[in-house]
Amino acid sequence: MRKPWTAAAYLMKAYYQDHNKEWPAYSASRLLREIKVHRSLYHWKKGEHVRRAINIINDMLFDVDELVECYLGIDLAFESLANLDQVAGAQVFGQAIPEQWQISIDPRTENYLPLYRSTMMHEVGHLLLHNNEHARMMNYSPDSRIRPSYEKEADLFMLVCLLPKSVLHLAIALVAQSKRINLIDTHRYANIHKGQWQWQHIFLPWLVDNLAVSRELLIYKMKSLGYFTNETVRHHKTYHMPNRWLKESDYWPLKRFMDDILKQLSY
Amino acid sequence: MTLGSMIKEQRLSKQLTLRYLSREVEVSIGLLSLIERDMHVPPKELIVKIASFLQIDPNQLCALADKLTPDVERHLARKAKADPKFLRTLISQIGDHNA
Repeated sequence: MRKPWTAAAYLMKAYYQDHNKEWPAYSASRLLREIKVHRSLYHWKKGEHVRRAINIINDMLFDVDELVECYLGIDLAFESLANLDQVAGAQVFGQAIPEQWQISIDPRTENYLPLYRSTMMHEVGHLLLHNNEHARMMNYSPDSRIRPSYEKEADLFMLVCLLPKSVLHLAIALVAQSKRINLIDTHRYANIHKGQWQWQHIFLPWLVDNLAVSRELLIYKMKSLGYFTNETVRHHKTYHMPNRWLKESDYWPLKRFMDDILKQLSY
Repeated sequence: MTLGSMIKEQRLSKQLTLRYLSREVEVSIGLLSLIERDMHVPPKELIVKIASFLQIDPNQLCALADKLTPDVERHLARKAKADPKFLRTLISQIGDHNA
């Protein structure tokens, strides 16, 4: 059985290649190496590097429906899974049936795109990682306290697909540079009041809006990378954060235009 | 071949997602999912709309749903009004054909 991150990288690389593009994780790594002067400091050439960074971030917004149905040929169904909530102890948003190569998505995910994307990719993780003789129905219930190892594997798979480390670093560096925030301080002070404020008001909203991932996913990733403490994680879960993905009408088309992003970054 | 499977087959052959088709024919994605799984029979107007978008013969699609396209229905109604025995003749001919 492949490790989740290897499987995710293999899938995403092949998917983007099929669309005559490079997986943004590789492009981001390369760009970060180019602009890195020394550890944690970046030297951006405004026009070229910023444009490339924005294109990479835009390319991350792949259509999960297209990947699932057209590229992987997975049978996709939309049906209520609320009857499983009691068993899981939390809301169940997705279900994978590996032996039927099928994914079911609950309509409750429809109102929030980041949840929809993470649910979908989590279930794809199950189909690709756990399609064996012990295959059984697997559910996505992010708030459930029961997280067996195969659920954690699917979570990891989803994270690599939706938020590769290099893209996250690039996006953070881009925002820091545009807002004239010292990147070293961004990480060093992330767990004290100053840094928490910056993350709450600048970084998290921008990352959610432009990467179409949920705040929860971002916080989880920042913790797993060692930047956030448990206390910081708790802090970032306490406040309401408006974002553009709450209305379904914003979903299509998914791509942002460079001018939009440039305006946000105050260029 | 069922109505749902035909719609799904045609949709996937054109590399279209369920979401995209649902927006184009202006129905919810949940409803379209039910239609494709043969768990809901849509009204003929929706069948014709789907057929038109996917470039399928609407008569073929309606037949799978045991329905008639609106233009055929109108034609039959006009004929039946003009010649009351027309429908009886037609039904008996269909019966002979199926026998």
